[in-house]
Amino acid sequence: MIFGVLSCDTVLVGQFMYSRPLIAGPIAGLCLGNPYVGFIAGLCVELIWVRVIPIGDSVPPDSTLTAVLASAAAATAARNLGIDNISAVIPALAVSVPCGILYKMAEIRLRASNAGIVDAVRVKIIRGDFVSVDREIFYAVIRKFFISAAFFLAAYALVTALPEGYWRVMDITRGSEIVMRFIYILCFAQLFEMFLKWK
Amino acid sequence: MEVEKILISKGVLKKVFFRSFLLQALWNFKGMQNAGFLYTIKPALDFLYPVPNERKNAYTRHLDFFNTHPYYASYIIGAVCAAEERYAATDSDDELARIVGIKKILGGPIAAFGESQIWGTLRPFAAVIGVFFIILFSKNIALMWIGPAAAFIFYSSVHLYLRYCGLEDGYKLEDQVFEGLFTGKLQKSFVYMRITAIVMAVFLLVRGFLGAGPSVMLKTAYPVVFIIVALFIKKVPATVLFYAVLIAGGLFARFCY
Repeated sequence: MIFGVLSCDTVLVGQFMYSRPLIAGPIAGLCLGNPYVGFIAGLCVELIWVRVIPIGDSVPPDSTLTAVLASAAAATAARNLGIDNISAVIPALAVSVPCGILYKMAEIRLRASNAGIVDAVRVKIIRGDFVSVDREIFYAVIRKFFISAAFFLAAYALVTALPEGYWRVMDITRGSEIVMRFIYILCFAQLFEMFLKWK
Repeated sequence: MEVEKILISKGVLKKVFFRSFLLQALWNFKGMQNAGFLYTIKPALDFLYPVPNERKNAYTRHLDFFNTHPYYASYIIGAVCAAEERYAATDSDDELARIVGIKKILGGPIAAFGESQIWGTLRPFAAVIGVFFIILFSKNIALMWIGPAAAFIFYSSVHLYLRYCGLEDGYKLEDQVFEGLFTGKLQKSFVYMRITAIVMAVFLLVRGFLGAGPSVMLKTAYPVVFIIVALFIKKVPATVLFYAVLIAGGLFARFCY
């Protein structure tokens, strides 16, 4: 339900920013009793894709879904398997990123289907139905809410069903803190690139 | 003879303001923000065109292609409201062409401007504020919430200011509002945001480097990784780079540390 609300903020309703990974991640973590993993996952997703911006008709990967899924999955793994927070966040991020890209494809389909709805609204207006646009805008929000909530639930079920060995992958490296520092370096490099190069 | 204008009431403009938050609700690849624009401006059109046939024409002309930055769109919405007001009073073809012109001519430049200033500066700057506090208070979870809260408050205050003042200024000044938009104080503040963000990011990076512990291996690895990432950052997509760093970090931790 919370992801449904957050997802509507990304494009459809307001774009107030509470759907940004930096905010959505900790909220998801808090809901599952571990906001710390939400802070880390949110921070990483926010900065990894900081240069990916929606220009014109381009649809970027869904950073909200990625952050929320990574936070929820990491919180679940940390609680159920007794893994430390950082070691849980890294594999959660690795598996959530493709889900964010997959959700982008669902978003593209949803936006493509909107064209037909707008054409139907035009016909209805010509026939004298002046409230059709209000109705369709309302349905669009409801549709987005349920589709994103369903997608999140399916993705969460799949990710949390991954074998325990996957979640313990950081035991092999024996240095989850170091891996996380490497990710932070990437995050800051993206940030510098954004502010120094973007005009 | 001066034609008497039907003035859109403040209540109607308030409705337009609240509806502008749903500008992108029916975003589509064909008309982009067309349905959202009609939905936003609908209270003004209903007020100006009580006759069904006129209302029908007004609705359908706003279902034509339209796309711009969602926040700066308020300037265009305000200007179009004023232009519609005049067209409703005069029924002149010039005024009709003006309505279409404002949307067609200004949509593109405003979109480019908004993408650079909002998506390219304000949003990452708000993220830097959030990241700054999260990392600074990383030992205390309760204080870490200052990060997202500060980012949200800062971003939303600029966002809501643009939406509200954009509509008001657009309505009052019409297409003249765009003359000062690209060069005014707002433009300067975005430059300061970029400088502040770079300073904050450098501070966090240096802090992270100093906190790397006594290991010489780690202290050497961080700048090396940063330079390598910086070299590939433009050529390699962000997602691919993320997995490359993940694997490199794992291998380094396993074999070199």
